[in-house]
Amino acid sequence: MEELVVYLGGHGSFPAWIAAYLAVAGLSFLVSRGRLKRYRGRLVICFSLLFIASGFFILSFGVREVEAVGSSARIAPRLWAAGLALFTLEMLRLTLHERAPEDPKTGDVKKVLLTAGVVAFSLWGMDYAGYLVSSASMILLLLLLFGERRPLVLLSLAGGWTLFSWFVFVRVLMLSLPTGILFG
Amino acid sequence: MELLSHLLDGLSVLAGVYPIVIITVGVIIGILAGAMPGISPSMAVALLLPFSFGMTPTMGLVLLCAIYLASNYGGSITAVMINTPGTPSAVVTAFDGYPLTRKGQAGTALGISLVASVVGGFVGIIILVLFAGPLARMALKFWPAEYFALAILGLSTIASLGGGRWLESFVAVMLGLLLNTIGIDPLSGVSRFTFDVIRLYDGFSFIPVLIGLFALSEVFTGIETGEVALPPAKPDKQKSPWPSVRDYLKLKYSMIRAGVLGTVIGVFPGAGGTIASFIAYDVEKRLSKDPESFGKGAPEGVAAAEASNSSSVGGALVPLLTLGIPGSSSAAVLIGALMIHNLQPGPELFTRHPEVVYTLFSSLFVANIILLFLGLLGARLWIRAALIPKKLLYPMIFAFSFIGSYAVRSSLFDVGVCLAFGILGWLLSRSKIPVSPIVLGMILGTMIEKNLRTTLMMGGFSLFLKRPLSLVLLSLALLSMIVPFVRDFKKAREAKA
Repeated sequence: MEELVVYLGGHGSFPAWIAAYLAVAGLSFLVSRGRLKRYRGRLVICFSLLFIASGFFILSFGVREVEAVGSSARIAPRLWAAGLALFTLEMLRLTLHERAPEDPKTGDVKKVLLTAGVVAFSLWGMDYAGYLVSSASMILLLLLLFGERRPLVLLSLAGGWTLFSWFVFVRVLMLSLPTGILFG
Repeated sequence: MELLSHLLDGLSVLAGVYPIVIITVGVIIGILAGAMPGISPSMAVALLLPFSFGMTPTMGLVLLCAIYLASNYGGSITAVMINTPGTPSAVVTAFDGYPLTRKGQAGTALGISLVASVVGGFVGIIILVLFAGPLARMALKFWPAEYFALAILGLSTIASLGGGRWLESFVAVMLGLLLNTIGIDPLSGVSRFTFDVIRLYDGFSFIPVLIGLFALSEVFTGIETGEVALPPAKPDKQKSPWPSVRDYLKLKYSMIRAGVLGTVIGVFPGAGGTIASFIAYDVEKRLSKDPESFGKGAPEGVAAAEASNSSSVGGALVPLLTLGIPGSSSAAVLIGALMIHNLQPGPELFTRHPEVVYTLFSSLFVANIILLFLGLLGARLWIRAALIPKKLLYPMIFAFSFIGSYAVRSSLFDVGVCLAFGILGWLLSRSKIPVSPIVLGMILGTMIEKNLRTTLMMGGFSLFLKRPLSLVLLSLALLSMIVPFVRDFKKAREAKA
């Protein structure tokens, strides 16, 4: 048991956690069939929160006890995990009894995911191209994604931001922004 | 007398071109941010936090507080002119402000909202100045049991004041508390839930979390709902005169009443300007000789909403500065700002850094005066901020968020944390789970855990019950947790009957 908890608390356990979460998400999809379909998003959130609470509770067994301190570092996480589980279970009960607010109408989720993808790509690119180039490309891509097509607006905003951030943050406020491998 | 001399000392720090420029810039940014629908005061303060990094702690806080104060007013301009509240708390201003504009009295509505905002702001600041010091001195005598009970009371009021969404608020608070346990344990120094990732040893840095939850999640929601593609609303271009001094004097009691009420409500964590303005509006309507006029362009309605909204800023700063408990989402961001400048919010701030506290108080007075002038000069100019299309604004918010998250620890990991919390906030808000309780849970988590465990070491659980103040505070917390349950139970019984 102790070995399992130690394994689960290390970064080598990520695949196991991801697999377990996928199983939980799959379960929530199974539960949200039929009349509960209009609560699918809420059910996924409830199951995910219960997964988080259980995960923290299990991992708390791996937290080292230091007797000299006089109080355990396990107390707070267990208390909050129990509270989270308790309130989430009540939320789940209300949802299963169809007494919770229904999911909102799904909007343009694809655009949200694309936006997050562009932002994540720009973040990854900062290691290589630095903040200024990376953020200017991000602004350009996001403007295009949001439907802006005027070349002057695209270039002036991306270029203007680069100049503004360089002058204000680097020159005036003297913040060290990431320079990247290519320009560093 | 001592208080007055501290305030004068604070004013002397502000006597100079640089501090006045800082306050003026803060007020202008605050008004513009407030006027832009979709940018809340907390989002404005979080996004502009990096500008304070290169300043002294005092000037950094002065800038952020000026933004906070002015953004609460900025929201009312678009509420009055185009029926689009720039901030959630300005919704109530639109109830009567926009009908006045429709009647051709936009000047009256703008004038009343500005003056009421300034009067309410002064009431809030005066109460803050008068009560913060004594409360901080009292708090110095608190034991860990009292601190624990106080923080629990703070969290319970957040949840119970969260309108009909008390259950979701409790869930969010618990999630925030749980996430706060990631990192090194504050008492024993052992690592918890870090998965051997070194960057997690310090836990999540507050600023990226705040920016992610307050700014990015709202942007993602705006993208999903299609707001990003909407053209901005057009304002009515007709001109109308502003009210006379006599008109303002007729509303003096409404403004002062709402100001006091807003300050008191602002003190409670989680209540903030929105709840304050709803309650003040309701009280004013009940006291009015002509309640039917409310909603159709009653000047008292605009005055009450704005005065209470602005005064809640002073109220929210009382628990923040004296106890380290934020009274609103924007105050939660200010806690992050204080910590970045190595200032620990709480009673010791008054004893260790009185110059910071009193300069901040004095700056709020100055900011309010500057707000009055800038409001008078440029009401029609500020409204142009609302005309900036979201498709141009949102990419800039991402770029600002990157800088704000990175600059705290010069870590790209923190930028990733910001993005992750932005997505988390968006997902949770789709299920009507509010994000501000998560932030408050994370901010108060360490305070709660440290004091809980210290009390347990000092005398066990019974110590919470032996200390009278702790007992009272815990009873109040329990009561505020039970109230929503009872309310729901009664409603269900009435529905059955």
